[in-house]
Amino acid sequence: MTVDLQTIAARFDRWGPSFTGSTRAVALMRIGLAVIAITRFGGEIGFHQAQNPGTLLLSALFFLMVAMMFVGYLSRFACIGTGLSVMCLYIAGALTQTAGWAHHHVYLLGTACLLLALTECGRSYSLDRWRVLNAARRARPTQPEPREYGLLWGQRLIALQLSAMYFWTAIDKTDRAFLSGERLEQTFVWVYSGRALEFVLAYPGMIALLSVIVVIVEYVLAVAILVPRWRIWALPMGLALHAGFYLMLPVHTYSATAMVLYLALLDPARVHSFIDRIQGHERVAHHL
Amino acid sequence: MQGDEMSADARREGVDSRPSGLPTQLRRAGFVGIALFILLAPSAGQVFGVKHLLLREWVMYSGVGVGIPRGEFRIWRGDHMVATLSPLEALDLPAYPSVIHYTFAHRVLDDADLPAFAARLCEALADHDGDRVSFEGVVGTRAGWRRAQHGDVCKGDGHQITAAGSQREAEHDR
Repeated sequence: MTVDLQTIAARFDRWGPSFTGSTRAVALMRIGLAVIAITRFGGEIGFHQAQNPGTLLLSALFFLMVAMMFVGYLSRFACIGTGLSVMCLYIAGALTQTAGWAHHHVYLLGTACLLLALTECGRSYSLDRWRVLNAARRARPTQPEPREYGLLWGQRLIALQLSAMYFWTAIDKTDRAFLSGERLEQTFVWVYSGRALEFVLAYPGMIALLSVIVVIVEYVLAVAILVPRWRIWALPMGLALHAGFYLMLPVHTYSATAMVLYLALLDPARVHSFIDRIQGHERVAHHL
Repeated sequence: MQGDEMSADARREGVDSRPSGLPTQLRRAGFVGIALFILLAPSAGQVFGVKHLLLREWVMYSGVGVGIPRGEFRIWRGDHMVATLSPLEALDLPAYPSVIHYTFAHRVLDDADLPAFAARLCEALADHDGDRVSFEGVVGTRAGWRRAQHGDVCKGDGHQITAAGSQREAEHDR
């Protein structure tokens, strides 16, 4: 029994707290989240919008950290800085009733940046890596170059965040009002009235069916994205769901953020070798 | 098993690839703590009703459409109905504005809001050659559609909206 528990603990440790692998996927996530952060807030918190020295300082901090995160300079520090900046905007949005700042997509973006800081996301596609490579070439010209490899426990936590998000939003929708199609119909009345898609409101039965499908898909995704052998169909299903949300509803950066976070669901070794293959470095990848 | 592949990678990587940073035990405790927070924090609000900004509930879009009426505003002259208007026509809007729903000033969150929703129509009642406006339809709440009837929205009495609790819900719909 003791051996079994130790085995389970060891497997859990390898899966979670000590999870290591290629850093290319998390580096792509770092770049993607930085672009999303600047897209979401860049136009709203530029220096020209600052109301007082405090907001000017927060604005400067945000832009500095996002830029560092994008280029990968002091990457983990930049992820923490960006994450904290976004969370400050989230809290400020709630306190000042600023429309849209206290939304779920802002919280998801902020926490994802913070969790990304728990990975070695600067070891690929970054200024950090360029500096390390140059230093290594100068110090040990005959030695192999530093690998794009490191600790990735934050990647597992991002996967859990996505799973929890699907589960709890499905829980919220598991009631008569949503499953009957009424809540989705209300949403469509707000979004589509007076617009080209208004004809959808003439089909309440279809809206009810769509509501049930959405809830089922969200429950399935909550589990399926964590099971490696199910991801082959779960990931396209999830991407289609988010693409649907983006096309049918004004969800801001929510869909884009979720799609970028899907990189956390991929096997880092496969992402690494795939990138090698599409860059024509298959033989090199084979020897890694 | 992915974890096995990764540990095989780790063996191939040798000394350079060993995890760096936090001590292992601290990292394990941190992982479990953060994972439990991620998985269970939403239950505070969604199960136990404890609301806090940092205990994020995942209730996306649950409040969109709350307070938006669907039905007909009917313009009367005496006992003769002279016109029917949709809620958008009553507001003289081509579509609801591209703002976040809870900032829309005309939402009908309790009985008194329906006359406010129709205020512009009431001001222009003479243009329609009418003397009274009624409403027949439904209003969105978090619990689904609620029937709404109003005999004379321009006078502000004779209303009946069975949308109890919608004001409280309005605080919760982001």
